Amino acid sequence: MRVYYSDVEIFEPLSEQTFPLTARLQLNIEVNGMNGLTRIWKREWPLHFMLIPGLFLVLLFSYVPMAGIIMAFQKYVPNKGLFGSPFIGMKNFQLLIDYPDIGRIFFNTMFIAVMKIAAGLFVPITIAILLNELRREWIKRTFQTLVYLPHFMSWVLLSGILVDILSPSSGIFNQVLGWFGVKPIFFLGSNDWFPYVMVASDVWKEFGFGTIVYLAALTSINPSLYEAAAMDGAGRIKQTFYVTLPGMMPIIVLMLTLNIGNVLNAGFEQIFNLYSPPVYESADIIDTFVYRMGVQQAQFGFATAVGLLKSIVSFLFVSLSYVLAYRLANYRIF
Amino acid sequence: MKNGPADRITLLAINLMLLALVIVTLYPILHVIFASFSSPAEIVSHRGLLWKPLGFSLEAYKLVFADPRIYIGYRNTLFIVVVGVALNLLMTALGAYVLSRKNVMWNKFFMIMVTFTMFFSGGLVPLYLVVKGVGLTNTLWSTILPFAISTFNLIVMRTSFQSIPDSLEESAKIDGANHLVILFRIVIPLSLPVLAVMGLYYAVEKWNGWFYASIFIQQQELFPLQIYLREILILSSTDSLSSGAAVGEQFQIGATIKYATIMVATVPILCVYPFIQRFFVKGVMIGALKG
Amino acid sequence: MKLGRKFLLITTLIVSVALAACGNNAKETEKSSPSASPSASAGSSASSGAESGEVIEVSTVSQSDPYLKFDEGESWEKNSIYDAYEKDIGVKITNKWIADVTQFKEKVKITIASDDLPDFLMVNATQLKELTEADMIMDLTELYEQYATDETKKFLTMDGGLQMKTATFDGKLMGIPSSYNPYQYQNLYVRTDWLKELNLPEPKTMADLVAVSEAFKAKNPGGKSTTYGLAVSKNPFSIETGVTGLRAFLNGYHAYENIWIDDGNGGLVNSDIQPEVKQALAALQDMFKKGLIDPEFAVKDTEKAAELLYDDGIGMVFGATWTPAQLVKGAVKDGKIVQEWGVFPIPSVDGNPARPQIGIGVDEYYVISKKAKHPEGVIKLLNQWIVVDNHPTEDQKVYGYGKDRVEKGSNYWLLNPLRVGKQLDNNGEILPKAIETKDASILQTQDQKNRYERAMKFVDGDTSMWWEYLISGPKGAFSYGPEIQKNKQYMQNKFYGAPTPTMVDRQEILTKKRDEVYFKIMMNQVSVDEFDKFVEEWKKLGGDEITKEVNEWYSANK
Repeated sequence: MRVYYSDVEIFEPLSEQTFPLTARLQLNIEVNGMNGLTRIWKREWPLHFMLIPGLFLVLLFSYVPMAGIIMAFQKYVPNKGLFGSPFIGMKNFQLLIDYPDIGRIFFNTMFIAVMKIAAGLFVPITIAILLNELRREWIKRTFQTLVYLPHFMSWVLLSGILVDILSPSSGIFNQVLGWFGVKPIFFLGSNDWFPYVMVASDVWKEFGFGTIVYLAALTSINPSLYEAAAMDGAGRIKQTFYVTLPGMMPIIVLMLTLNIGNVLNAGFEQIFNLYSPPVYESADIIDTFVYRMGVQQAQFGFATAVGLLKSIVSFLFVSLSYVLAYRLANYRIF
Repeated sequence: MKNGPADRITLLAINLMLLALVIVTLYPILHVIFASFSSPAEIVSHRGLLWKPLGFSLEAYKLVFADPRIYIGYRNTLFIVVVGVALNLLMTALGAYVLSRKNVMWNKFFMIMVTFTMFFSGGLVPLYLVVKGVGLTNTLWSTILPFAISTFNLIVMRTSFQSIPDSLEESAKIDGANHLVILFRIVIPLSLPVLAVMGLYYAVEKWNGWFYASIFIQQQELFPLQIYLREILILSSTDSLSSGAAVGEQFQIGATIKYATIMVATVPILCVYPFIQRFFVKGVMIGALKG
Repeated sequence: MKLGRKFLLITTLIVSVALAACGNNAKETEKSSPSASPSASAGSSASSGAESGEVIEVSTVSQSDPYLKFDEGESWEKNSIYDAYEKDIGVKITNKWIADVTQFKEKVKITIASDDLPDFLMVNATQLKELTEADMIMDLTELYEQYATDETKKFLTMDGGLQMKTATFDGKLMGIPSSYNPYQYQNLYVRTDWLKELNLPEPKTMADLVAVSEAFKAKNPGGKSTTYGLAVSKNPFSIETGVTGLRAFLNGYHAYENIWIDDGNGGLVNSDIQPEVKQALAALQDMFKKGLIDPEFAVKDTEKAAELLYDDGIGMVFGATWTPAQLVKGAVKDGKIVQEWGVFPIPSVDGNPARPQIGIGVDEYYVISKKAKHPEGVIKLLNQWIVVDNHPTEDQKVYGYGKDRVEKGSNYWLLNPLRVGKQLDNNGEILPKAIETKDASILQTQDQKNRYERAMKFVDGDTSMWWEYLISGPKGAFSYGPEIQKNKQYMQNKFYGAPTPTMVDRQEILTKKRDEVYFKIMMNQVSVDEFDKFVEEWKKLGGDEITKEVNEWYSANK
């Protein structure tokens, strides 16, 4: 655990906020002697007390197992355990770095993931705003209930349906394109199309579910703001830009920052069910690669190493976006 | 507020676009519904999309419900969802409340500590060893306690708690309310929409979860519904000639059982959302302020 | 290599499922049991434990199966089969956990990684090696020598001892092979009603195959809008693809998918990079260009690809011996036979007959934990299984069917915790003859009796048994076996060691590159000459290293 502790310290915001605390303590001590600490404690202990159960569970089920991360540097031998297995240095990482297609795989992963993050933000927000414009409550509710259904279908099932829909010979999508004189396209078999099909079909499956949190956020916008805007003569479109969007901004920035952590998660289940050798070039991602490696070797070391690498990358990205959100937009999400 | 003609056109356009979206997103579930009621023999040789049930047969549903383990599964899943989500919400709300207070000692540190778990995890084997070590294996709690707090949900809830005006809280404090009272009487009622969303997220996750149950639970009587259903799905998988070797008619039924199973597994959780929507009412905050 | 194992399961499962399907008239399945003397003698040494009244306990883990239907009041914890083992040989079986097929593998991994082994369990070849290296499992050499009966020893070396060899490390027996018969050959299945309608000859050469598929497509006897010549699905080269694969197609060109074959100089070479493959790929590309292969095959799994077969769109497919059990879904509708299929040996590109490729016949092993208190109990389970599975007395039918000893399609045999299959069978010699002459007297094994009975039902007009006749009947899928067997006209993988170190690290990329280039050639996206570039790349990416390791193994194990 100590290992990560030092990681925490390089997390920039920490140094920033430990400062005020120490300053505050210092101040208290200077003013009130050691009593300051006692006073803070006296005031804050109920809060800390409320945190104990959750903290305990997090420590037990998240931090204790983190010891497993050392597997990434080991040739793990089950009966020797985590602390008895031989260390092999960076060999597990070396295997990943030496992999001939590694650059391609990282590119594919990020390319698909970033597009998914962007689309997964844009579409639900747009839909939420459009829904907000509807006056009839029942339409709004029915719509919302219907579009969130695909979220509950597995990719195994959806991929079967998608293959039918996108079939160049008989698929309805290509038929519709045909009306406009477009020649049939083999979307799932073409490297030019595959990544975009993944993004589009991911939106298809998830946008309804994604809309929910924004709809909830919309309810907290003070209606009097709309009234005031209307009095000032703002139309609906103007209201959207000057009232709705700013009102949703905190949640939008929050979601964006948190989702950036998925920059290396391009969606294993979806791609695994839809890709094929002709599109490996554009479709093979880290997770599918680790899966195929797992078939060859039963060792946990390699998978742990890749997992650790992914964690570090997403941690860095989220830290970066946190700092950017704070510096550029002055949003402090946590 | 009256709508001008421009507004009306915009509204029409929005409605049409939403209608198109509904059609596109509705198809998968329709496909499942149609297929689950179809005659197995016809489904097998059918190609392409389904626009209506092919023939009509309830055979698949009869077979799914004939398995007594379905009911055991429902019972276990219900327990996991109800107890699990209650615990999730309580823990998340407590955590989010504390961490949303300003100027509390060590809060930033705890916040970072919790956030950290969103990225780094030790993997399955160490988690299994811990769960086993504390004696939770082979209990339903093994699917509840280790996942009591989702960092993502915690952060979202915290953000929402932070947006509640300090003034409300201050006035309560002056009235002598302690933190628990503030949390349950002021903060939570004002954050119902977000709380409802978090509840939905947790419920869906618990409802669909099977992986950890399959790893942590040994006894079949404790398996959640999804594990049984996955087993039934094997009946119809391409692999079934190897694992189960259904032949001919048996196999044909397998094709529709798959869909009936999906229906049985999905419909109950689908019904949750309309209830959640009740909480999405505008102006809750205003009402509270006035009252 | 899973295929063979699957077959073992399938043959047995088909029996019970089909019996369940045809309902009540199943009770006459068992006839007189063969001579009880061997079982009695074999049983005597094993049952000593029970006689002395001492019951030993062994723990294991089990795989549940949706087709296993428990009798009233029975469960994994308590059932008539476990009771029978306890009563007959004094071994009490307990399960540390039970999981279905999909989760079983994952759970075994966790079980191993957390050093939480039961007394015995089934693992794959890679895990066997790992467990051996980690010193977590027992050396069974002496134990087996002491406790295995002569019958068991004979049973597990029917293939000349090859399968046992795969479980032996440095002269130590580390596991008991979960054996099956590897001599199962793929065939070509063709719509014979279409052949007749179009007046076409049986396909004997690869040229015939192309001619027939061209005719099927052009003349379209099925009258469907979408027609192709040969059914192919998304993993055509994988062993997992039992129907709609292309391994047999390669074999027709004397090419083979990822096995190790003689290089002519006493060494081994990998079949994936041999020039014959290029020829086969060129032929596939040609068929693709002519529209004889579904251009979307790369995204269709077996079930989706097979829709075209059921729907009269395609009339030709390669597949394992059990393919008819898949075809029946489209061939028999509402009790009527609507499609007629024939079975043919794999056509050859030239005068030399095609040699179907086969594996060793084992990919999983039963291993005993080092911590097991009563390892002998496991060997007793093995002895008993071989007895009761091959020549059960009336009493021992409990082990197959449960306490009422009547087949009712409940697949009770799945409850036996340790199962091994025959490494050889003579179904191909016996069954077609017996069915043709309606002579039940020459049948030898229970499996043969069951199959015969089903085939007879079909002869008597029960169309739901159509598939069995096509598997076991004259000119059925089994019937070509003996000829191939006699002439040794098969190609068996010459490498049966555990994966070499470079294989562990590099096999994935080699398979990936191979699939990429094979598919692209097939789909006419690149020229067939890309194959030569692939061969060079294969060697550089670790193939040469693997070849070296395999040959080192070969010279040590010849």
